[in-house]
Amino acid sequence: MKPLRISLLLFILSTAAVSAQTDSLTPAGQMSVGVRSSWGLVYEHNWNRAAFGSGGQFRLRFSDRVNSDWFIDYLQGDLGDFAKRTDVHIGWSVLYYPFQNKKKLQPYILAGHCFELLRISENTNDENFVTRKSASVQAGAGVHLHLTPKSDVSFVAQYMIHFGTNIDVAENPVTFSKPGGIALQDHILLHVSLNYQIADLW
Amino acid sequence: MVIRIFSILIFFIAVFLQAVSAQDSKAGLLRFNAGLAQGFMLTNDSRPLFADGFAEYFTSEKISIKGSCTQLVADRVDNGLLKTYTGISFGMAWHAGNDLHDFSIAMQPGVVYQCPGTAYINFTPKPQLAPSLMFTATYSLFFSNPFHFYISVSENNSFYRGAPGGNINTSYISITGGLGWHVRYKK
Repeated sequence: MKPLRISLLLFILSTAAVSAQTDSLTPAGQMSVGVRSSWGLVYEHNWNRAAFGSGGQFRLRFSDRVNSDWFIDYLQGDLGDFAKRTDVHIGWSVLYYPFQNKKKLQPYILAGHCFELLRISENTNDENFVTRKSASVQAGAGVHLHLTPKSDVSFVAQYMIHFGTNIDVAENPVTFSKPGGIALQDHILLHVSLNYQIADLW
Repeated sequence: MVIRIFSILIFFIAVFLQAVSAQDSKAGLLRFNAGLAQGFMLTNDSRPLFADGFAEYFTSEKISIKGSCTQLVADRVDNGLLKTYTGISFGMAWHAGNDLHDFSIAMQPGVVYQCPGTAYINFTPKPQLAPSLMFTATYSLFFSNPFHFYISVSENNSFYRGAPGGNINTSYISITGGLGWHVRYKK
């Protein structure tokens, strides 16, 4: 008889826990997954052009006003007409909502860290290449467009600064060299992401 | 004879309307579509033909999550631009309409594995991965419970980098349509 009572108690408790989760009244604990399309406006020296990429992210909300994006991006761009660059960004940003509202548009500011793997290679000769790993910081602003209570489109513009080894590029003939030292390389990163809430964790 | 044809026609219309009225909210609907797509390259006189398909799940009446795939089959032009092209993309679609007619627009970032067939002196392009971004407008007619018709227009943007003159724009517009299948997971 006693095990039956314990089982019954556990069952009632588990039901209560489930209903408490689904009745969460605050956005804290919401977890979303999404995909994103990015444009890196990289104009170093006079040969870089805009990079274009695809990626994914998940979003974990810490509180009503604080959220976080955890992302990975895969971008490609040209160096003039003689070389190409491939960037992989892995990082995270913390989002802060200055206005507490439940409107269709929700603006925010963000800042965070990112790690980058860069590969630059000569057009027509992929064996002539150079790679670099760097760390970066980024900050910017964005806005959520809430399509439904669980889905949104987010537009973000941010400024990203990479700290990494300097790379010199020469065109005729195409050579890549690392003269040493740390270089600061900055660019603007724009992205559009589509996100859908999959869980409400607390 | 005319009355018989007229009766058969009325019967089919009645069955059709019954099937249509059986449709409920689209939330919880999972659908699959597969077909052939006629492509038109944006910056090249090339008309590739693709086998394509997508799976879409309606999380609500207005929003669906969508995954698509595309495979180059042939080109209707001799010496077409693309030699290899396989793409996948994931995204979201926004829907309008009613239980019978569905209009949607979708945005889907993705990647393509592609290789142009362009001939160069001392250089042979190799297949490589590239980011892509697809925009799609789709009209669907949910005429019965397991089946629907659809017609879809897409613009798929991507670039092949590393060619002698810089990049090759491999973006195209495609039109596809046909019969789709759907199943409902929520009542």
